[in-house]
Amino acid sequence: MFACDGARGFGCNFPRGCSFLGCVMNGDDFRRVVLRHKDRVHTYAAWVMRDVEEARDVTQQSLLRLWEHRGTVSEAAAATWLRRTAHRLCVDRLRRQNVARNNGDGPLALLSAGGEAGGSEATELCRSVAAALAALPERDRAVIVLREMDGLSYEQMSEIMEMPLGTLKAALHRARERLRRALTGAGVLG
Amino acid sequence: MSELGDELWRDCAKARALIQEHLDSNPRESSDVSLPTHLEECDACHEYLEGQLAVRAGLRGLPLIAFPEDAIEEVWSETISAGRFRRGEGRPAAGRRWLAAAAVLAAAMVGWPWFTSDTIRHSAERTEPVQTVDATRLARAATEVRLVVDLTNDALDRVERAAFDEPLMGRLAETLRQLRVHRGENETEESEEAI
Repeated sequence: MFACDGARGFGCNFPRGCSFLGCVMNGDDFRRVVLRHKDRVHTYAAWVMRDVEEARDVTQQSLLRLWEHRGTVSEAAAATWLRRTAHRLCVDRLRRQNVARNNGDGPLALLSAGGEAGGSEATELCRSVAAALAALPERDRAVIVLREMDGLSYEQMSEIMEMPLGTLKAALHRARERLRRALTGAGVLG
Repeated sequence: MSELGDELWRDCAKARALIQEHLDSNPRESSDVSLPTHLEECDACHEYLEGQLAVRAGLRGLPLIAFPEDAIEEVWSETISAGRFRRGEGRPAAGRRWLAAAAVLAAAMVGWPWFTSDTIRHSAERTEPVQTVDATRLARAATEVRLVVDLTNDALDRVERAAFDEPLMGRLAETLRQLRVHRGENETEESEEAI
């Protein structure tokens, strides 16, 4: 009947990840969640904002908000919560910047620099894909990063991007198609 | 477009939709187009599939962009290290605390009359078996009450932790754990002595 594995350390009898009476995150839980998700949230924000500095601010703000809401967000729900918050912050910032700004070389600069984020694994195909991805509209970049790089389910993506499942699937299909066309146009694909 | 060409185009559109679903590991159960057969016959769709796989490989090969160390230090300094616990922050919502209190009250209201009922009191005093109480029902009732009491204890533990443990930086949890371990050892010793 009850499935908790004592995540709270008190032999709690409620299902793991429930937020009844708060699976309230304490300092250790928060630290664990942050260390687990910080790079993924940062990567997501970097690709959506196309600006690493902005991504740093967005990620930091998302983590601080998680701390403020730790009474209502369980550890299990934190991954989706963080991404949704980061997504909202990105959309707000892009809207404020009037969307016209195009810092397309934000994450790309890290890739071509071969620095800590680049590394030797960034092959030629990856660079081409990254360039094509950076040139896509914001919503396309968001769905592709969430699906292909983060490996999230449709349901999680729908929750993060706050759009119905059908709309999300259509958006993902369109985004993939645009990416494929861009790569075909660049001569990367046959 | 001729009828045959139109049909082929429709098949390609369906096949590409199926390819997307296969890429998402979520293939449709039934379709009037057999994907393997279509891919063998249609070069364009075959190329489409290869293209999608290459794009996916490229995307999955992209590295994570690490969150800078100095930024994470700033997060720690503004959260855990600051030790700031603003009023109400990190505590269960007021509604949930009320719910816990109501659960405790309800358990007390249900449990107390049952524990103090004449039947129970007399059954404890009598030496002969009680004929008026069905033993199965009594056992079931006892199990249910025990479950309610367990749940209430859990709720109280959680409220206690939220109220005291967090401001004490986890020390209460550790002390309680040690007390429980200590109590468990004592009980074991007592039972051994009894034996």
